[in-house]
Amino acid sequence: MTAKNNQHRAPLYKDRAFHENKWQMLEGDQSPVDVDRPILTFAEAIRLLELRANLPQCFGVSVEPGDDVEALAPYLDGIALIAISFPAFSDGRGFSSARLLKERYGYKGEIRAVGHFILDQMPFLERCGVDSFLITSDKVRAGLERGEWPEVTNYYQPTAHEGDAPIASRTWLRQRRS
Amino acid sequence: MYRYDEFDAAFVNQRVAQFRSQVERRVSGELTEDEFKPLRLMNGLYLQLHAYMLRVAIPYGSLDSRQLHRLADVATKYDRGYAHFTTRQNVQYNWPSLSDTPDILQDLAEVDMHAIQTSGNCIRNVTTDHFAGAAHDEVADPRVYAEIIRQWSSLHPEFSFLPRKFKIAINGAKQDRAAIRVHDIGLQLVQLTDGGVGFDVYVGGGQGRTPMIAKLVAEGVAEQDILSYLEAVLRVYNLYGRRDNKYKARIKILVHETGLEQLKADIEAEYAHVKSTFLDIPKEEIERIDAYFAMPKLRDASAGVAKLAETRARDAGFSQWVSQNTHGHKVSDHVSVTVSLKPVGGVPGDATAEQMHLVADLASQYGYDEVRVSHAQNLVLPHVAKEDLYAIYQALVTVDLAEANVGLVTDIIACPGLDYCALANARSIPVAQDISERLGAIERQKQIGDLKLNISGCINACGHHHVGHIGILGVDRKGEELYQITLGGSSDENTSIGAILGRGFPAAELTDAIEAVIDTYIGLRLSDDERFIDAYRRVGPKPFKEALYPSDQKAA
Repeated sequence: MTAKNNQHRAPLYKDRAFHENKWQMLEGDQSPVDVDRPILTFAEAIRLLELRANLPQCFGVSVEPGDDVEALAPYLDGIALIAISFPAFSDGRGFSSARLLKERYGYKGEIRAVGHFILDQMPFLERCGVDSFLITSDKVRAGLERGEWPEVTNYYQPTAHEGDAPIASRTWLRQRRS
Repeated sequence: MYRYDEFDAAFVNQRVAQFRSQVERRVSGELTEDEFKPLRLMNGLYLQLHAYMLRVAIPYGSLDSRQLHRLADVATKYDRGYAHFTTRQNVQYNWPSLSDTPDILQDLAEVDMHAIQTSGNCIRNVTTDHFAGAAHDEVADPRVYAEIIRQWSSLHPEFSFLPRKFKIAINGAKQDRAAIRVHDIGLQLVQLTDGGVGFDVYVGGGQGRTPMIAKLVAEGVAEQDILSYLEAVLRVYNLYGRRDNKYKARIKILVHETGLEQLKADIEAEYAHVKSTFLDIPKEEIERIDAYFAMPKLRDASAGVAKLAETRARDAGFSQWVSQNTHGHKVSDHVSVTVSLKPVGGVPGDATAEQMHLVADLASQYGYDEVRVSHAQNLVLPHVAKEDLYAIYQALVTVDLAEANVGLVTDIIACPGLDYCALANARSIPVAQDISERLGAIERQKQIGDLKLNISGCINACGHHHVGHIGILGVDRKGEELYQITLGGSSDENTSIGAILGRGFPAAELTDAIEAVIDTYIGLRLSDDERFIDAYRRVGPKPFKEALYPSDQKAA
């Protein structure tokens, strides 16, 4: 069984609940039109989008650290899912990629975190605009199943996250909207 | 002093609860050390050579007596009766047990303190001038902005997993007492032409194995825009800083490899996007925070100034202490007092619980309830009436804190070195003690004059050896501890990086070598007033090389 198949079977965590993951990374020479809900690599997606090639109604794009999400900006309306990859929890570039997509380029689709993030990063990722998480770590899964969401819910940074609410006494700070 | 409101208190209490759960999971074995490591590091908990070490944040080095008393209580209750003040204006406990650390943080939270972001690859404690708010040469009070930046950087959702640690320093005075040019970002407060306050921004300074001086990237960024500007710099760094090699991951390397002009353009482009989105600091918020840092209502103490002169004439030791350990204040009948944590032969930066309690008492009795920690690892009472100096001095004498050596050769900055630190190659503390004892006689120190001597036990440079007028770097050579000497470093507004003079010395020969450097300087200075650093800049390394390596000179 390949790692990618494993990923396909991994549960999805979204809106504080587990769901079945219906998306899969495109493998080898598979054509995106032959796969239901394919996720294309960043370079392949840009190539096909620039060619105005035949793409399925519903496709996703994978963003690795180092991929400049500005290149996706002209095409965001047509992209249903952007999967931001974390090759290691210590690589924080995906946090910036998520914020740029949501706040600067106005992406309205789903942003998904994939890879080696840890439980304690998930609330931060959510505030940066991540909507869903592919859970491939047993530890993360166990924590979520216990109901853990390790977050300090008072925020000193106003961001565009919709879950933020201003507080009465210091209106430029934010709190999690309960 | 900034005081927490309900929002700030809830923030810190939630963080303590979160950490308590993490420690419980580690103690029960549910988390392995590898899994626990990134979590503990986000709360300042290191695993050192012999024990855990907890680094507690002292935001911009500012304390009140209640907080200093609590730091002393923690040392007594959970540690071995002392603590260590650091070059980043923080405090370290060297012997806490893992299971006590949540209780320590809870005790600290009660007095508005925490250990958030004192380690890890995030924005660290913002540091500033230890005389802030009191100094006579100040453009604006940097603590206001340091507090605003502390808040913005605390648990920042985007910038908590940077390529490497990130240090910001702010200076508000004309003289740079915050070493801003050896920080990832250095901010210099300036008066803008429209009468407002703004910042000159320096980026890419740092020490470690590749020391670099920060470059000016922006001038006159207005106060309400400063968080937008910082967010732009941090985003450029987060996206483009190197992550393939931890020794090349600091922003100084990005500046160096990208080139200043290109990086400035990248930051400007990002700033143009960020500006006027979320981070304009509301005027009311600046005013709200500014009010906390208002000058205390100083009493009129002009009548006592004459008495000070009389007392100084009677007590030479006191007079020397006043000359060396006080600094000019905005109000002429007051001064700032530096309490030296460098008793001759002592451990630089260490203070016992008894000493901390006494300084806290002096602060509440004479010092308008304010204490600072300086990046030179001393404590400061920023506002003291001149007529109270003698009482303070006499009290300090009783706990061995009256050393009159601020800015002199025994006011040594030193890292903990191989006595505590897992990274160190060599010991720092015994070296500092030996030099201090050799040169400690007050006449000898006065003869030598202003001199910064900094010691690091390894290339990570926590003891700031690169910017010491004389720097000492401990290295390991085939199992032997050797010490290299650098000369000509400085961290003020004329920042320079010291140059290595030649091959290292074993510990047993080091103090002789340092004394030879100093005697060479005394022999060649133009007058008693020519400082070591000025003389070195005038003559260069040659005479010092000749003094230390005479046989090399003959061979050459």
